[in-house]
Amino acid sequence: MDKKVIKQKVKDSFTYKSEEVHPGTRWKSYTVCIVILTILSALLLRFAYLQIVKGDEYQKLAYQQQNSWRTISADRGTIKDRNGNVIAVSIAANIIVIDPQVIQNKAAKTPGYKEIVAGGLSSILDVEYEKILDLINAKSRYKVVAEKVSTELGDQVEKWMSENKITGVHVDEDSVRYYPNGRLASHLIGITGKDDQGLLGGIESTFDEYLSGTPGRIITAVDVYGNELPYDEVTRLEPVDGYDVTMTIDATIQRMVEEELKNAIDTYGAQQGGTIIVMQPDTGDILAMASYPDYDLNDPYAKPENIISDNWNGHTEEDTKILYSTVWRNKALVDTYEPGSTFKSITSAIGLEENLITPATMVSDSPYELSGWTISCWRKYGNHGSETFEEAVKNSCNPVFARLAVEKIGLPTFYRYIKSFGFNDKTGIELEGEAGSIFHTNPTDIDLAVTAFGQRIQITPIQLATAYCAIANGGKLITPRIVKEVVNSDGLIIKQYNTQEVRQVISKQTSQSLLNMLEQVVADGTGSNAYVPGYRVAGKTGTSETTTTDIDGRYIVSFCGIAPADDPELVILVVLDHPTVDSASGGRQAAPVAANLFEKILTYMEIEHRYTSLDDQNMMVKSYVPNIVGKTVKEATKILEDRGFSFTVADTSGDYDTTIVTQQMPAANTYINNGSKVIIYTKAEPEKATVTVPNLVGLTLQEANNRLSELGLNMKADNIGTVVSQSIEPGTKVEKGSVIIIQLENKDTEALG
Amino acid sequence: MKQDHITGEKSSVANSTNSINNAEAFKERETKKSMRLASKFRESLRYEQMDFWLLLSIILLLGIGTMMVFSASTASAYRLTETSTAYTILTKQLGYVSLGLVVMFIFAKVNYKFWARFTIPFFAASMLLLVMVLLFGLVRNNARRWINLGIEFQPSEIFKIALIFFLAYVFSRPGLAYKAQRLMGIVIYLIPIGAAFVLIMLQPHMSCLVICGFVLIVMMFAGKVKMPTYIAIILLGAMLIGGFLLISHFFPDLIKSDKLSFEYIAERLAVFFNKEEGAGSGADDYQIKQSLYAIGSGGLFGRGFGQGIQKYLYLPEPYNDFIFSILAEELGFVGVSVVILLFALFIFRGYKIAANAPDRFGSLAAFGITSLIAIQVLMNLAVVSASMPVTGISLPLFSYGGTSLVIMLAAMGVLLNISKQSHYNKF
Repeated sequence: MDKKVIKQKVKDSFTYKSEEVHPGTRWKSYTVCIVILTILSALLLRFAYLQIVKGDEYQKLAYQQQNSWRTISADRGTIKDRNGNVIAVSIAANIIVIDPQVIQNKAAKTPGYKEIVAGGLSSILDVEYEKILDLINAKSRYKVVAEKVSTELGDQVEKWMSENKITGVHVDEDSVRYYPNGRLASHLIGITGKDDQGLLGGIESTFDEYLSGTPGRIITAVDVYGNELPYDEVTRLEPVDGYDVTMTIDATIQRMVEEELKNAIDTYGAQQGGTIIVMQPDTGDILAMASYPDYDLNDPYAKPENIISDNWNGHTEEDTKILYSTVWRNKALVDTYEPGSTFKSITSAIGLEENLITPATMVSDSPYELSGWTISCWRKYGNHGSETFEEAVKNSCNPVFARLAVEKIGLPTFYRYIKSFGFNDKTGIELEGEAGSIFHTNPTDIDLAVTAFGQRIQITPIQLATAYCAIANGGKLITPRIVKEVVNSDGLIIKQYNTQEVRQVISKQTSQSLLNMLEQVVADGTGSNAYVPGYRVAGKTGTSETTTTDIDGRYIVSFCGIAPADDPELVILVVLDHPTVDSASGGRQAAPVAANLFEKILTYMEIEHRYTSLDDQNMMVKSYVPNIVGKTVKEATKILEDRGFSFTVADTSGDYDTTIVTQQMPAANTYINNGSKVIIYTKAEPEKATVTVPNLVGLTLQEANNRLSELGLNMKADNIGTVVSQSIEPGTKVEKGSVIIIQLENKDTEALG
Repeated sequence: MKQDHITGEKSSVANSTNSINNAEAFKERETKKSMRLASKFRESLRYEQMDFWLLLSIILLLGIGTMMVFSASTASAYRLTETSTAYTILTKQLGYVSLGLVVMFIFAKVNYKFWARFTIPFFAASMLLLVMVLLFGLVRNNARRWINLGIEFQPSEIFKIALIFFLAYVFSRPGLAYKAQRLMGIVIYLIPIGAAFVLIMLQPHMSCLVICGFVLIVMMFAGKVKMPTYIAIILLGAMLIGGFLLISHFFPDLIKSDKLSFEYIAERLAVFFNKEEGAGSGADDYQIKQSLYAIGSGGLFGRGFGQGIQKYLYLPEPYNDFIFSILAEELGFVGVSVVILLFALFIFRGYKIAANAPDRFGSLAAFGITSLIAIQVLMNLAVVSASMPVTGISLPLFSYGGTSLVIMLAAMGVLLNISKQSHYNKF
C-alpha cells in the first residue's frame, strides 16, 4: 500500500461518516413516542386522581401532621359563700406538653436530642426520666408531661428551652384549684379531678357544667421540628371561663359549726363522727352543713387520721375505698340513721293537725301492750303516769306516742303524713349521693307504734332537718337550697335558685302549737341543755340504738332545735354517732352543742337577745367558789365545771396534768352568781391583768352581766331589775376576775311584793 | 440542482405560452418568481432554524423548574451550613442555569457531526471516569458516585450521554452498523457497555443503571438490531440479572450487595404496596407518604406559589427528586397538567427531530437524548405519585443539581443542532 492510501484511511477514521437514515426510523421514533406519551397521560390521570378525588383526604392528613394542636384550659369558676367570701378558686398554673413527632424528627437529625429533652424536663419537673422518654417515643402529636405545675416551674422550663434551643416542648396555661379555707365545708365543695372535673358529689361536681367553662385551643402550622411557619398565623380559640357559683352557706357560720362539731366529737368520744345541719326554715337555705371526719380540700387524698396504713398513696382502689367510707362521706346526706325521739315531733304534728289531740289532752304513760310487745317509758320504774300531752312531749314518753299513733291516727293517715313531710323522697338538695329513707314496706300496728317514736326506721339527717323547717315556718315543706345563683364573669346572673315550696304539710296553727310544746321541752324537759339565755329555743332530743355496728356505744344521739321559737330563724340538727363518754343521751350530749350554736349563730346574725324573767331567775342562783389552790389544773377545771363555773387559765404553757394551781381569783368561798369565771394562776408570782370598771347604773341584770363578763369581771347581785349602784366606782382599775356587787331595783317586783 | 430544475421548468413554460399571450406569460413569471422566493424562505427555515417548540418547551420547563427550586429550597436551604441563607440553593441553581444555557447554545451552534468524530474517545473517557470514581470517589449515603476534579460531579451522568453517542455511532457507522445489528454486536458494544454497567453497579448507582438499561433497549430497537438478536440479547440480560440475584441470595459471601438482592426488592415492593396506609417506618415509606400528602393537598389549584407546607422539612430534599410533589402542592393539578403537557411537547418534538434527522447518527442521537429525558420524566413522576417503588431519579430541568443540569442542557444543544440540519416544519 502506498502512503496515499494509508493517509486517506487515517483521515477517514477522523472524518465522521454515517449511513443514511433507515427507511423505518420515522415509524420507530413515533412508535416509541406514542408509548411514552401514553404512559405520561396515565400519570396525568394518576395525578388527577390523587389531587382531585383523594385531595381532601390527603389534605386532612397533611393538616394533622402540619399543625400542632394544644388545648388551653378554661379558668374554672369561683365558688363563694352567701356573702361573697371565696371558698374555691382557680389560680394560674402551667401545663407542660410535648409534641413527640417533632422531637422524634429532630432526634433523627440530632442524635441524643430525645435524651436531652427527657433529662431537662425530668430534672425541672421531677417526673421520672423513663416516663418522659416513653412519652417522647409515643406516636402522637400531643402528650402531657406534667399538669398543674406552678408558674415558677413553667418559667424555668421556658428558660431552659430558650437556653438549649429546645423545640417540641410547650408551656401552656393551666389552672389549679385552690381552697383558701382548707377543710371548710369540704363535703359540700368536693374536689376536682385530673381534667378539672368535679368529684365527690359536692358543688364542684353538681355544678360542673357551670363551673368548668369551655377549653380553648392553640393551632399552629409547624415544620417537622416544631418551628412555627412564617406565613401561617397562630389560630387561638380563646377558652370561655367557667361561671361563679354563690352558695347559701355562710363561711363564718360554717366555721362555728365545724369547730363545735369537732369539739363535741372529741368531748363525747363519738367514734363514728357526727353531723350538724343549720338551715333557715323560711327559705330552706343551708347556712352550714358539717360532717365529721372531714378532709382538707387542698390535700384530699391524705391518709385519714385514724387509719393505719404503711403504704398509703390515696389513689389505689383500696385507699379510695377507705376515703369514700370515712373522710369523704357527707354524713348529713349519704348516711341514714334512726332518728329516735326527735321523730316524736312529727307524730305530734300529725295528731295536732288531725285534731286528734291537744296539748292539754290527758294521756297515760303506762306500758303499752301490743301484739305481744310491751312499750314502756324510758323511766321504767315509776313512769310518768297520767299527764297532759304537752308533758308527755316534754318527758318524751314512748307509750303515749305509740298509743296516739296506733289508736288515734292509724296506719293510712300516719303514712300519708310521712310522705307529706317528705320522708319517702329525697329532699332534692343540689348535692350528689343523697340516700333514700327506709320505712316498713307493709307496716303493721307494732311497726307503726315504734315508728311513732322514731325507732326501726332510717332517714337522712337532711330529711329530718327539712321536716323541722316545715314545723318552724308555718307548715311549708321546702326544698333545701345549697346554691343561690350562678353568675358569669361579668356579674350577670346565669341561673337563680329560688326557694321552692313543695307543699303545705300542716297548718300554721298546728305549727305554732307544736313550737310552743317543743319550747317547753327545752325550757323544762329532756332538752333543757339546749336552753340559751335570751333566745327562745324549741327542740327535741333523740337517742337511738343503731344496729349498724357492734362496737361500744352503739348509740346515735341527736337534737333538733328551732330558735327563736316565736319567729324561727334557724333549725339546727346535731347528730353524734357512737358517743363513748358517759351514757349516751341526746339531751346531755347533743343539746348543749345546739345551745352553743344557737347562742353563737343568733348573736352573729344580730338577732336581739330577749331575756325572760326565767333567764334572770336562773342567773340569781349563787354558789361558793371552791378552793382549787394546790390542785393540778386538770383537777381544778373539773371541780369548777362541776360547780357550774367557767374558768380561764392565765398561763397555758404548762402541762395541765402536772401544773399546780398557785392562786385563784375570786378567792375560795366567795359567794357569787352561777356562771362566773374563775381565773387560775399557776406561777408563784403571776402577772395579773387589770381592767377598768365600767359604769353599770341603768343597765338591766343581763346587760350588766354581759358587760362585766366581756371584761373578765364577775358579778354578785341579789335581786333583778335595773342597776342603781355598784360596789366599785366606775373608772377604778381592778384585777381581772374581781367581783362587783350590784344593787338593783325592780319596781314590778316591789309592786308585787 | 434544484435551481436548475426550476429554471428549466420556467423556460419550457415560457416557450409554450410565448405565442399566446406575452402579458400573461409575464404575470406568470412574476408569480413564479415570488413562489421561488417563498420557497427559498421556507428552505432557509428548514435548514437554519432550530426546532421552535422544542426550544420553547426547554425554556419554559427550565423557568418553571428554577422557580420551583427556589420555592422548595427556601425552607431548608438556610439549614445546609452555618453561613447558608434561604437563597443559597437558588443562587447556585441560577449559576448552573446560566452556564447550562450558554453551553446549550454553543452546542446548538456547533455541527453535531463534529462531535461525532470524538464518540469513541468520549466513551473511553467516561469509562475511565467510572473507574476513577471507584478509586477516588467521595462516599455519600453509602455510595461512591461523586468525584472531585476541580468541580464535583457524577461520572455516571456523563456516561448516560456517552452511552447514547456510542450507540448512535455503533449503529450508524458504515460497515460497523451491519455487524452491530447482528449477533456480533455483543462483542462490539455489549461487552464495553456491560463493563460500564458493572462499574456503575459497584458504586452502586442502581437508578442510573435502570435508566441506562432502558436507553440501551430503546436504542437497540431504533438502531434496527435484527429482531431475533434483539430478543436474544434482552433475554440474556434478564438471565444475567436473575442469575446475579440468585447468586447474591444463595452465596451472600460472594456478592455483597445491599440493594441488588431479593430482600431489598421485596422490601421496596412491600413499601410500594403499602403506600396508601402509610404503614411501616422506613425512610422510603415516609417519603412516599409525605409526597402523597403534598400532591393531595394541592387539589385543583394548589396552595399558591411559595405557600407549600410539605417543603418545611416534612418532605426530605424537596428541591431534588421530590420537587414535583412541591409543584403539585403549590400549583395544584392545573400546574401539574401544564408541566406534563410541556414535557409531552418536548418529547414529541424530540422524536420528530429523530424522525427527520439528516443522517442515521443524528437520528439515533436525537432518539437517544429524547428517550433519556422521557424515561427520567416518566420514572420520576411515577415515583412521586407512588405509582412505582422509590428509586432516586431526578426530574430533568427541575431537580437541583449543577453538573447534571449542564450536561443535560448540552445534550439538548446537540438535539437543537440536529433539528437545525433537518428538513421539516420547525414551527
